[in-house]
Parts: sequence; C-alpha cells; structure tokens
Amino acid sequence: MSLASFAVQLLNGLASASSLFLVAAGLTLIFGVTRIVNFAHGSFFMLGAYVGWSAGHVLAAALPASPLSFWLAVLAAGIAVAALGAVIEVLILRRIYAAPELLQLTATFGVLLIAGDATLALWGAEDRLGPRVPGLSGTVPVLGYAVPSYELALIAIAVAVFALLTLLLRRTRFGVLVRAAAENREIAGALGIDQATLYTTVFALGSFLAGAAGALALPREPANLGMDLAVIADAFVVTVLGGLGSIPGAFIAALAIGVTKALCIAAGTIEVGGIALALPRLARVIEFIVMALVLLVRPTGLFGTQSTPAAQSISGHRRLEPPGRIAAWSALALAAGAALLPALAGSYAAVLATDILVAALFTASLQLLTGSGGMASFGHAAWFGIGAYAAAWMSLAGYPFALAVIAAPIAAAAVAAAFAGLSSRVSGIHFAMLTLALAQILWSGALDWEPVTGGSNGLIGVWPPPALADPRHYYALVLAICAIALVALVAVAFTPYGYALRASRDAPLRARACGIAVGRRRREAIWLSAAFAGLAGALYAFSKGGVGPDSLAIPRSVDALVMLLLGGLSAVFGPLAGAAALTWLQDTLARSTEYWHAATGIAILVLVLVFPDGIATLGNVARALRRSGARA
Amino acid sequence: MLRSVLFAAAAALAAAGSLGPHAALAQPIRLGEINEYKQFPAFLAPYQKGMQLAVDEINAKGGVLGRPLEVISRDDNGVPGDAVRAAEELTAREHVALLMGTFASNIGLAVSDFARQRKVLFIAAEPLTDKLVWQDGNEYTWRLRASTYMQTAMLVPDAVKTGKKRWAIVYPNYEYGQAATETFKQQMIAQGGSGLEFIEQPVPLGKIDPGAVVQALIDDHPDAIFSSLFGPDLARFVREGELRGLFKGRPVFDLLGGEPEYLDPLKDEAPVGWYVTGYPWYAIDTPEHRAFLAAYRAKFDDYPRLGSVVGYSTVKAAAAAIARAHSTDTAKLVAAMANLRVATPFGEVTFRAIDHQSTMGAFVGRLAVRDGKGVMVDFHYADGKDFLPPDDVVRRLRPAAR
Amino acid sequence: MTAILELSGVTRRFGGVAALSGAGFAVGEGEVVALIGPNGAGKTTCFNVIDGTLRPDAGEVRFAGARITGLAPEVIAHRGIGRTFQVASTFGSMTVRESVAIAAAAHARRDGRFAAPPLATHSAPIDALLAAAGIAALADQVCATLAWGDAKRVELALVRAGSPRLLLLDEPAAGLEPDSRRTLMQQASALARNDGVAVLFTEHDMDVVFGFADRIVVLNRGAVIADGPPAAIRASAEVAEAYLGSAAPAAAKVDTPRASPSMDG
Repeated sequence: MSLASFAVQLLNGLASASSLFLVAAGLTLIFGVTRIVNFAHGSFFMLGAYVGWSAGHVLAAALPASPLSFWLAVLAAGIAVAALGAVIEVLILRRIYAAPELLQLTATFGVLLIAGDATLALWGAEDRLGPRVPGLSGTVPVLGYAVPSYELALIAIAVAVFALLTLLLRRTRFGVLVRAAAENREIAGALGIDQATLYTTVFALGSFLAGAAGALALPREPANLGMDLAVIADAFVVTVLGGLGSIPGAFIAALAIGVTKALCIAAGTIEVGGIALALPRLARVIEFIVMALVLLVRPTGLFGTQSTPAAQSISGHRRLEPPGRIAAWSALALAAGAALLPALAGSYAAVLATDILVAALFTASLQLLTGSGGMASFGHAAWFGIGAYAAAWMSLAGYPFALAVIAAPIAAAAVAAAFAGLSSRVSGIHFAMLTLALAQILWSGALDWEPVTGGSNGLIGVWPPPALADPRHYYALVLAICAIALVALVAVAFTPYGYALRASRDAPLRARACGIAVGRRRREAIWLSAAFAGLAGALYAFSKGGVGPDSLAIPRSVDALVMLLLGGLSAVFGPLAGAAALTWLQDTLARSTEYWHAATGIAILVLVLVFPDGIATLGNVARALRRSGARA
Repeated sequence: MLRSVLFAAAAALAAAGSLGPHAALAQPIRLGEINEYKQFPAFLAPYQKGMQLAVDEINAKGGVLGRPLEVISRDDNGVPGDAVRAAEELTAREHVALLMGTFASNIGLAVSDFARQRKVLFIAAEPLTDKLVWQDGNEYTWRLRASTYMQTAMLVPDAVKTGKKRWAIVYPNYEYGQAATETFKQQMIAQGGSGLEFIEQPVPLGKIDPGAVVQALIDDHPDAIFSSLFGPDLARFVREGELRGLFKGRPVFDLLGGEPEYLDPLKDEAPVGWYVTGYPWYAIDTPEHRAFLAAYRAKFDDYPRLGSVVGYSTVKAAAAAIARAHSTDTAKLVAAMANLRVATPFGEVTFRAIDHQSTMGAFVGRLAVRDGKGVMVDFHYADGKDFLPPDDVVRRLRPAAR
Repeated sequence: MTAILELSGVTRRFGGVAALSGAGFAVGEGEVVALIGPNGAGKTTCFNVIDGTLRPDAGEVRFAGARITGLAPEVIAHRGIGRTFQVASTFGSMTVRESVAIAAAAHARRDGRFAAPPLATHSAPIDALLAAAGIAALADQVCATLAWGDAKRVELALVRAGSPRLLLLDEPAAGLEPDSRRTLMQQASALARNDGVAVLFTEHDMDVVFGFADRIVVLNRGAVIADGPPAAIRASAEVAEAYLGSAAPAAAKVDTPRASPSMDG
C-alpha cells in the first residue's frame, strides 16, 4: 500500500466514521441522560432514510436540480423522526421509568418490531436508492485518487454536528442540565430539573440526529429494511466505547472504528508467521474487538467515568420471593399438565413445548446472572451457542448423546470462567456490552471457522438417538431435564449463595464489609449461568437437528432479555412465563398475520405497560387486589 | 400467513366453481411452505405471488388428483430452528403432503435435514448452496433453482473470453459468496488455463464499507472483477465504484446482478456493460414465458420478478410430482421426483435423479440502461443441464449418490 | 491494654490531594474511640483504608497484631472488623431477617454454597441477633422500605452478625432523634464493655463524642493532631483552633447526610 493510498483509506475511514458518529451521537445523548437502552435507535435511522427518500422525491419535483431539495429532505426526516421519538417517549417510555431499567430495552424492542413492519407496509419491500446530491455528485481528486465529494461533505457535516452539540452541551443551560443528568440523577433532581421535559427533549434530539443521519446515508446506500439492525449494534459500540453520554467520546470512538475498519480492508490478506490472515474478514467484528480491548483496559470506555450511573449494577430490583406452598403446588400441577401435553394436544404441541422449555431454561440462566447477580448481559447467546456447538460437534464426532449433552454445559462454563476472570473489572452496562462483544466475536468465529462449525450453514444431522427421535419422546426428556434444571436454578437463588449474590448486587460495599467475596460470587454467577445456558443450547441443537451461527447472534441474546423482562426479572416463575408468552405469541401470530412482527411488538408493549414487573407477578397483583378488597 | 390462507380459500372457491359440487367436497392437498419472508421481502413478496398464480391455475383446471391444492405458508424469521419448528407444525398438525420453499442456504439445509430425519419430501425453491444436493444431499431433498455452482459456471465462458488474467473477487463473506468465489477460481483455471491471479475481498453481508473496499480493489490493479454481491451491498458497491472509477476499462461480472430484485432499485445507475445472470422478463420471447407474463400481469397488475418465477415453478413442480405419483405418499412422491419434468416459464426442466438438482437455468447477458431503467441485453438462456459437472464428478461430490 | 488496631504513617492521595498524610493511632481492645475532625479531615478515607476499600499509598494498618494493609474488604471483615456506612447501607431487596441471615452465613463462610439447602432465615441465633438489635418487629420488612433510623439499626445488626472484634461506625448518630442516638450508642458501648469489642466511630455530634468515647483522636488535613482522653482533647488549644474554632464545643451539629462517590446505597 502506498502512502497516498494509506492516506486516502484514512479519509475513507473518516467518511464511514462520520455517518457512524451521526447515528451514535443521538444514541449517546439518549443513553447517557435517560439510561434507556434504546433498541429502536436503528429503526429511527431507517425511518429517517425512508422519510428522506420520500421527501426528497416530493421536493425534487418542486425544486428541480436544486441542492436545496436534498438538504430540506434531511431536515424533514430529522424533524419527522424527532416527533415520533417524542411521541414514543411520552406515550410509552415515560410510564416505565420506575421499572427495572432493562424494561425500557424491552419496550424499545417492541417499537423496533413495529417500526420494521410499518416501514414494509408504507414503502414496500424493494430497496429505495436515493438520488445523488446536486452539486455533490462528483469526485474530488485527492493524492491521485477520486474521492466522492459527498463523502468529504459528510465529514464536514459530522464535524459541524460535533461542534454544535459541544456548544449546546457546554454553553447552554440545556447542556448543563443534560450533563448533570448524565453524571448523576440525584444531583439533577436536586438542581430542580423537570425530568419529564428533559427526557422528552433529549429523546427527541437524539431521534432527530438518527433520522437526519438516515437521510444523509441515502446518497451512499439505498433505504432498505435491514438498515435498523445493521446500524444498531455499531451505534451502541460507539456509545459505550466513547463513554456513555460523551459526545467527544462518541466522535473519537467512531473515528477509531471507521479508520480501523478501512485499514483492515486496505491491508487485505497478510502473512504472520506463515499463517495467512485475511484482515477484511475481521471487518465483521472489528468494532467489537476494539471495544472489548478498550473496556478491558479502561472499564468505562474512553471518556467514561466510574461515577456514571450506568457504570454500576442495574438497579430497581424487587424482592425475589421464596416460593411458598401455592407456588410449589402450581409448579407440580404445571409439570403434570406438561407431562400429559403430547397425549392431549398432539405431537406439534410437544414440539412447541420443547421450544418453550428450552427458552425458559435459557432465560432462567440469564435470570441468575441479571436478576440475582445484577449483571445485565447483551450477549447471553454466547453460552447458549457454545453449548449448542459443543453438543453438535460431539454428536457428529460420534460420541453418545448423553455425553454430548453433558459436554455442553461444561464447555460453556469453561469459556465463561475464563471470560469472568478477564472481565472482573468491568461492570454495569459496560459488562453487558463486553458480553455482547464476546458473543459477536464467537459468532464471527463460527462463520469463519468452517471446518469445525460448518460456517454460515452451521452443522446439521444432529438428532437425538432413535429412541428419542419421536418429538414426543424427546419432549419428555427435555421436560425432565428442564424441570430439574429450572427447579435447581430456583433453589440456587435461595441458597446462601443466591442471597450472597443478591446482597452483592444490592449493596456491594456493604456485602464486602459483611465478608462476602463479591467479585468471586459474581464470577461464579457468570459460569454457573453459562452452564445452564449451555445446557439449553444442547437441548436446542438436538431438537432442531443442528446448530448455526444464529445460536450466537444478537437476536437470540435479545430474546432472552425480552422473555426475562416480560416474565419478571425478580419472579421465580418469570423465565417460564416470559418464554411461554413470547414463544407462543410468535408461533401464533406468525401464522395469523403477515405483519406478525408488528403484532408481537404491540403485544410486548401492552404486556410491558400492564405488567412492568413481569407477567409472572400476576399472582402478586391478584393478591394485592384481594388484600385491598378485604380492607374495603 | 393470512394471505396464503386467503388465497387458498379463494382457490378452493374457484375450483368449486369450475368443477361443481363433487370437487368442492374433495379435501385439498396441502403443500407446506416455509420461507424467510421477513428477511428477504424484496424477493419473497413476488415469490408468493408466483405461488398464488400457480395454485390458481392448477385449481382452475381441476386441481391435482381431483383435489384442489392449498399452500400453507410459514415465516421462519430467518432462523433455522424456527424453520424446523414450522416444518414440524406443517407435517404434524397440517398434514401437508410435502415441504417446499426456503431462500437462505442455512435454512434450506436445516429443512433438508429435517426432511431426511422425518422422511418427508422437500422441494427446495431458492437456496443456492451446492451442499444441498452434493455434500449434504439426501434422498428426500430436491432443488429447483440453479445452484451457486451452476450460475457461476454460466458466467465463466464470458469471463474466459475476456482474456483477463488478474481478477479481483468481491463477495459477501458467508457460504454463498465463498462458494461462488471458489467455483469461479476453479472453473476459470479449468477453462482459462494458466497465468491467472485472484485477489479476494470478502465483505460482511449487508454491511459493506464501500469506499474502503472500492479503493482496496483499485489498489490491487485488477484486469477484471468478479462479484457475488446482491441487494443493498451491490447498490452501494455500484455507486461507489462508478464514482471512484473502479469499473473504467475493467470487465465486471456479477453473479445475480440481472435479477430484477437487485437491478431495479439501481434505476438509471445500473452499471452498463456488466456481465450478469438474471431474468429479463421484458424481453423473453418464448410461448411459455409469454403466457406466464400475461397471466401474472393480468392477476397482479405488476411485472414478475425472478422470485415470481421461482414461486410459480416450485408449486408447479410439487403438483407435477403429486400427479406423477398418483398419491401423496412420501415414498411414491420421492420416486416421482426422479427425472420429473416440469413446465416452467423458462421452459421444461427436469429434476435429475443423480443429484436431485433441476435443470432450471438462468439468463446470461449484459446490463444496459433503457428509459431510465436497468435492463439485460444480448442475453441468452443458459440451460442448467449444460452447467453441471460430469456424472462421475457428481457421484464423487454427493455421498448420497454412491 | 493491648492495641487491636494500629495505623502508622498512613497516606492516601486522591489526585493531588492527600486525604490522609502519615496518619497514625491505635485502638485498644474493648476501647471506645472517637475519630473526629472537620469535614474533609480524612475520617471516612481512614475507615475505607482500615476496612480495605481503599489501598493506602504509604503506611501500614495492623489488626490483632497482623498486617492487613491492602487486603480485600471481605478478607478484613473475616479477620474481625465490621463497619457501618455514613448512609446506612442494607440489602434493599431482602427482608431484614434475610439480610441478617446472609450476613451471618457470610461470617460462617457459607456464602459461596450453591449446592446447599436454602439459607436458614428462621433460627435461634438469627432471632437473637434481631432481638439484640431491637429490630425483631421489623424482621419481615423489606430493607429498601426501612426508615432512616431503622436502617441504621439493621445495619448494625448486619455488622454484629459478623461477630467483629473491632467496630467501625461512620457517623452512627447522624440523622437520628436524640433517643435513638442514645440507644444506638449504648448498644455499641455495651458491646465494648461486655464483649471486649473495640469501637472506633466518627461523629459530628460532640455530645455523643464526649459522652461515649474513652479516647478521642483528632484528624486535621489527613494528619492526627491530637490523641487523648476527652478531657485532654477538650483542653487542647491546637484542637480548638483547628477544629472547634470559636464555636461552642458542645454545640450539637448534625450534618445532613450526603452520599460520597465511594459509597453504595
């Protein structure tokens, strides 16, 4: 690579970084101030692109060949998405600020599903390529290379937005409030900030940036239905890598990622010690690798501080009530019903129930980590996937079924123990992102390590032995294993260990002063939880006849979080309730409407708003009603 | 899906109208269909219309074995596990005669393995992976669409003719792109001889970094380019490459670039002169296709995409198998698939007994812009049967055939 | 009297500011010692160094004859040092009974047992702990809902569940009604008199300090400027100047409790 080429690749990296920064700046504002893990931010970006596309067409007809039409369309997209963001904040998110923080993630996930289907309904399935920008449709010669002038404009826009946001945050009263809220909610409250207005404003501003960024992306990529998911993970990475709520941090993080990616692509395949390394393949996960390395050295990101609320454990936990007699009888009745299910409802019911049980076990393993342990994980699929791959690999290598099932939790726990050791300094949302990084790196590894993992196609031919080939028989086995495992997980929560873990979550300094080895308890939670997730993965692999990279991918991690929060973060029946609700909903809705993503999203929103503590606390609600009735 | 249930009902009504009370009482034959509707809507929305057209045509003529056809579609959300669950549901609860569909290779393989395990016929519509009929081929799985290998092989003769030696290959970094790359290299060497050089540029699916990729390719100074990009990645690559002058003086080949699903969004920016496989629906002048085009336009007031042809032909293949087997029994259906001839808009295709691959071909041509739209010109139909390896090689590639 | 806790030359800096610079003093077995000084004198930093939350930049902390400098808080807790926090910290999601039970289990080194029977919350020793702290009536209340004074009593019970030989109380009386103040301090004194537990406490309320301390250590700008019996401290001109100033020594001054960045809860 010549020096000129290197320099121009840096410029290319800057251009990519610029569009990344524009998306992430909005997210870091929202994230930093409201602590909402806004999963719908990518959807706002996508909606911005589509609105920009439509507005661009209307305006281009009104102002032919004028560059004004494009820039007005960008503004229109930003404003439209900002309005939508404000509406979502007021109608949905504001109602659940008192609930566990992750519930807002669940709600925004519902929004993401609805936004995707709404876009499909409004704009159709075909990709929409926007027009080139009049006046910026050509190239500029740079060191002998033709560089698109729009990309240079994009860099200028990013710098301008950076400067404007910095001014806004440093020089205005609004900025003081935003920074105060980002650093300490209590102080913000003491300053007499009207929290509701501030949150709405920040959410609208963040949405505006996402929407405008979407429209600004149009000259480089067509508006398409995959934009939401393509951008969301990167935006989170930039936000966390830079330090939550830090605009300069987001700017530098975006630059670091954009430039590293460009250089990986430019470097091509290099030889290191006789081994050929295809660096462009790293482009898939380089942002996660960079983030993981930074977090291991600086646990709160480049510009983050430990006192940032999000650096601490997630809060707002309710008491985990020990199951009483009613719960025990309900569990027994449930198990009996489950055992009779295939006889009563046929073989497909057994298949669906197998999926529900596996999902419940996976979710329950997350409950140990996130519920009792207070450690949110955005990459819990890592353990599920390791277990699934381990079992599949053992099975295909000819080992007996039982051995393959046993190997799965061991493999997951072993990797988790190593991960726990490495990540012990990282906490809160940063830990959650570190788990995501691990899951993404494993996912990418599974895609690339074809001889062992089967690459993107995965491994197939992983079926249980003939005696269990009938789905009803396999279901009986899964029911037995999952019942034992679920009871074991509930039991663990009420052992001295379970209480020690919750004590560590509630008040880590107090717990340590009481002699509880908080760090060790947390590391144990990571590998224990991973073992159960790995077991779920193995059962999954054998129920599906195989395993693929999807078992490690983000949607699976998100599923576990959504099911846990739907069911109840601090309810012993939470995982089962959440898994049953979401799996059944999806199965039913997918069969009854084309827009089943939206239908699922609406159902999630309704459940979240009606049962902020989870549907498994339905019993509590009934009890409270009875009590108030008795009093009256 | 609601839509499929509705059209099945409409189909049943149509059948009842044309055949009187007797046929109306006949139980429909159910075809279980699974696809990634949420992941690939641009391809699969027209695909579903194609299926609907075929079902309506068949039922209007009295159905199959005197019974109307009914397609029951399931959305697998792009997850192989969900596809397997849908397959369980279709077989156990809906009692479908056979399974069909799927777009992505990993889903196709998962359903194919399910078919082997549960002994049910699976007609894979679209998944391109060679493994489906070769390495992982099984008794119960048959594929309609021309594979990655076949489509790549269709472009190789033109690539050889360019006489270019130094090739840059850009591909989406997963099995489809990797397989296309491998096949291209291998076929070029087999047909183009020595002195060939290949430089590879894998890009993450759906997340190409076009500026950096295009410049890296420029720096490689290739004589020509072979790409297997599609969808938004392709659009971004085309725009950036045109702007930066990557394509100037270099022949470019793109595996799927002529499919309306990916070509149409480019409008007047369709890269003129590229060699592609695809579907020039506007210019295919065969009786089969004329009839299909007219019926499709009459029904949907829209033009067909490649997905429409695939959906239509998949249903036609299923119907032909059932008719030939005179039964919905799996063993008889599987037997009927061997050397089954099916009339498709591309002409008659045969499901080869040796590797369960249909001989459906593709159109090979070059891109041009006409009336502000991308079109294929100078194209010809490449029959699939001419682009498959010799039988002894197939047998070596397909353990199930030995 | 043998010293159970000895600090010598303890220095701890935050950035450029030395919160402690060469601080040294001792606490004897069964002795009640008050650690006083103006705001920012280094009292809480001193506690955090003793209990292992902070590692000193220089100096040494010895407990029961052994060096404990740099050990982890949980290790130090097991050696026999218990502490309370300025803002009483309890386990918010648990009932009072559960909290005391897990504290007792942690003391017995059972907190790592996950393949074990459930945590025993209803046992005679736990009832005794609850009764001794006067919180039996609160046993089934969830800690997050406790009133300020109740939380302080519960926290003391958590500490006592660890059977400490040295009790560090960080402003135990702050924010309490005079009655509760007396009760709480009497509990602490009784522990010292009857069980030989050493008590080191910080306090702004001079009534409490002079009423309960056997000895007073005065910190100013991170250094010990006086160390002696209450009468001597009351008479010390240096203390008067540095700390008491012109204000009436006995004027009770109750600070508004505030969170510090190093505290949880």
